[in-house]
Amino acid sequence: MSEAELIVEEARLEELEDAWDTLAVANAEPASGPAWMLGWWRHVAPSGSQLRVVAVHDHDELIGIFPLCTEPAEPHRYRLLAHNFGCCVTPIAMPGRAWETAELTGRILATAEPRPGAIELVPMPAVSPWVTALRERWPGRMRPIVYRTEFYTVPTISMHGRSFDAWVQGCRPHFRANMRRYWRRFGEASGNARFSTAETMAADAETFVKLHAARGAGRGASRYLTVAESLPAFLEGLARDLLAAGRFRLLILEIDGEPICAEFCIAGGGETLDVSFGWDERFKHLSPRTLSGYRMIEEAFSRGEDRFNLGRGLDDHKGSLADGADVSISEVLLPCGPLLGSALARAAPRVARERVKQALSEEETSSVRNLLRRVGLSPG
Amino acid sequence: MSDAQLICELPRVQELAAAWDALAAINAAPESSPAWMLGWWRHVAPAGAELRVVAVHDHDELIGIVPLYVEPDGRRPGRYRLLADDLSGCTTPLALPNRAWEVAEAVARTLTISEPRPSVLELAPLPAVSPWAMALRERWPGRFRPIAYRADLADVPTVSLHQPSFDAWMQARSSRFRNNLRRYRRRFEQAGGTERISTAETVAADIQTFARLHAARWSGRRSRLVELGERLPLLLGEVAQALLPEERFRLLILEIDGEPICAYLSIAAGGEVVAVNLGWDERFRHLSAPRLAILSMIEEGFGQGDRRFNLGWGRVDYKREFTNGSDAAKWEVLLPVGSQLPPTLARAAPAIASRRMRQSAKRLLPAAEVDRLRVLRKRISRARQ
Repeated sequence: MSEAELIVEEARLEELEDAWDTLAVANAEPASGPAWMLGWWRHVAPSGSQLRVVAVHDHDELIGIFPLCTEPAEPHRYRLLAHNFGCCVTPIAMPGRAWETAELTGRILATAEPRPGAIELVPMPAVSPWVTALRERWPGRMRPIVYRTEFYTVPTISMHGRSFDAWVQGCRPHFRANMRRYWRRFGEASGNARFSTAETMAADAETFVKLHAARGAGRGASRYLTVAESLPAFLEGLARDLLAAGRFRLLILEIDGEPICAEFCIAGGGETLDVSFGWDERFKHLSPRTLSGYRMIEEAFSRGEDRFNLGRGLDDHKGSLADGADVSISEVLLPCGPLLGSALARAAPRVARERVKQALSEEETSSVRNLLRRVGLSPG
Repeated sequence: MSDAQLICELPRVQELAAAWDALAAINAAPESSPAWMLGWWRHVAPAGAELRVVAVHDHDELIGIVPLYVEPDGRRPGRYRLLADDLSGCTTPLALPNRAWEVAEAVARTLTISEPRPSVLELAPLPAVSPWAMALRERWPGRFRPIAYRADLADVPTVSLHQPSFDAWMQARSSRFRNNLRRYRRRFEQAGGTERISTAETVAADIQTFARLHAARWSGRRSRLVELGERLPLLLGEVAQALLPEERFRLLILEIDGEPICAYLSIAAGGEVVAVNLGWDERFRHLSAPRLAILSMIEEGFGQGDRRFNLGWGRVDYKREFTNGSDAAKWEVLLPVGSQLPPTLARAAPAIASRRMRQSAKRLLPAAEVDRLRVLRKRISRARQ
């Protein structure tokens, strides 16, 4: 008989770390494991947020985990841990146990304090069963209302049953020729690529933050920059948990010992997730971003992984590497109850914006955006 | 660059069978394999139905297939459905990993110019995690996405075969379960019982046995397989021919002193075994033949290195004893926006309302009342027949 437990203390959650990580690996969801999510909770979560994690056990075995927290400004709003940190996150369960986990989670959440007015499952893989399962299994007379706000393309590289050489051969000749040229130029400039070790980790984490900040300067908000002070500790925590197993990879490209590019990935269950990078604009001519991405992919192939996930959004760099795509979605459940009215009122503008965006062409959307700017309204 | 082709002729679809079957294995979707779907098309599809298979290639490689048919004229114009949807526990379009959205986009573009113009696209029964309805809707060309609704959702009991062996799986079950199953097996053996899986030599006769036992078991009740009559052995014979050599057509026969008392059919692909159906002789009820058959199928699954045994949607007590997991199947419908939308919506409205009422009743009424209503509905439906 399965039982659900509502965990509100970090200490209790730490006791489940190993079993939780096993689930993350079984689901090939490295960003939904404890290293990423608890790291986010410790170093990045907004102060005033409260843990609301539902753990489901069958006898002594953890069969599912629904890792949520409340929003400090709106305590009735529940969100997934690490929801705003660039990666797709999701509740996880043992194969075949998601619906059972969702049912027990629904029962616990329906009576949790503060009472959930909105449960944001954002951003999740589009193939996730959780929204449907949680909605269908929610107790009481009325199922929660569900709305979807956004879709993102997630470019991917399929590595299952292929070698790195076979993948390279499948790329366009133009791309292969470019890569040879970039590596040659990098070598001629005394370039060196290395992965961080436990010994170099502290310094490399600082390097990553510095390069990421330099690259992001003047380019608008990067979530990582808003937490730049906590970022080295977050990265070191990840390294502590995952480096020994080869599941945290921080790649540093150097010219004559000076770091010019840093990129990191996390991995689990055959999935490698390319998380973020930073590079020095002065070395643009060496295409460091392309080289580091290429090296990361080579490393993932050499470890026999199944898929390389290039992260949300499609740009030229990702487009030249990807041979497939997944989709992540943002969905919100609004349980029926006294909080429904205010939750609906808050959701309405967001839903309306999405609907309009979907109905308009890209040119029309951009015209509307310009118009709003001209009259002094933010289109955000 | 991927390229979609609309295929309306069977011979052309057959040319794709090997690549299609590879996709079925990659997606662990036995009921979406060409053996099952094309067998259905040849022997079961309604007369007058038209084939509309959309195959998507990247250079010469088949990266996705959406196997559809159009209902015969006169019923509902432009109603597209998945092949074998009325005979399967779970069907789905197929694609290579990470190519589903690209395939959906190419398929949607092709369907918008297909004839007859689709007014309804029924994707059912799909696995609950299937992205296809969402992907086709989001990638549908034009200003308006199709209207989507879920016509139904059903629990699918499953048995995860992730333990290292059948013995380990048994050990993980309750002692009561183990004792009961041991007792059933002992009783069966004492009664002179033996079991075997069909081979190329026995399969023709075994299919007849399956059809006979299934018909006897379902006598007086509605069964889609029984309705097929003479067409059932033809369908199963063809499926067996394609899948038996790879041990993916598993027809288990339980016999007492050489007399078949139970036949249980499942098909497999990519580690997923799906129970198609069973038939058994009521006279041997005391031997718990269905339970023994499921147990043997699970043991066979472990022997073949499969990952999951899907018992098919629908709750039956004996299934529940075996399951250690659950999934769901969903019935999704897309209504493209166009001139056909108003009449299509008008036709769909009663079904949508009925589903909503059923769901509300389940939530609002006590379980006993729901059961009473269920019995009443069955009686009315039998009386109508």
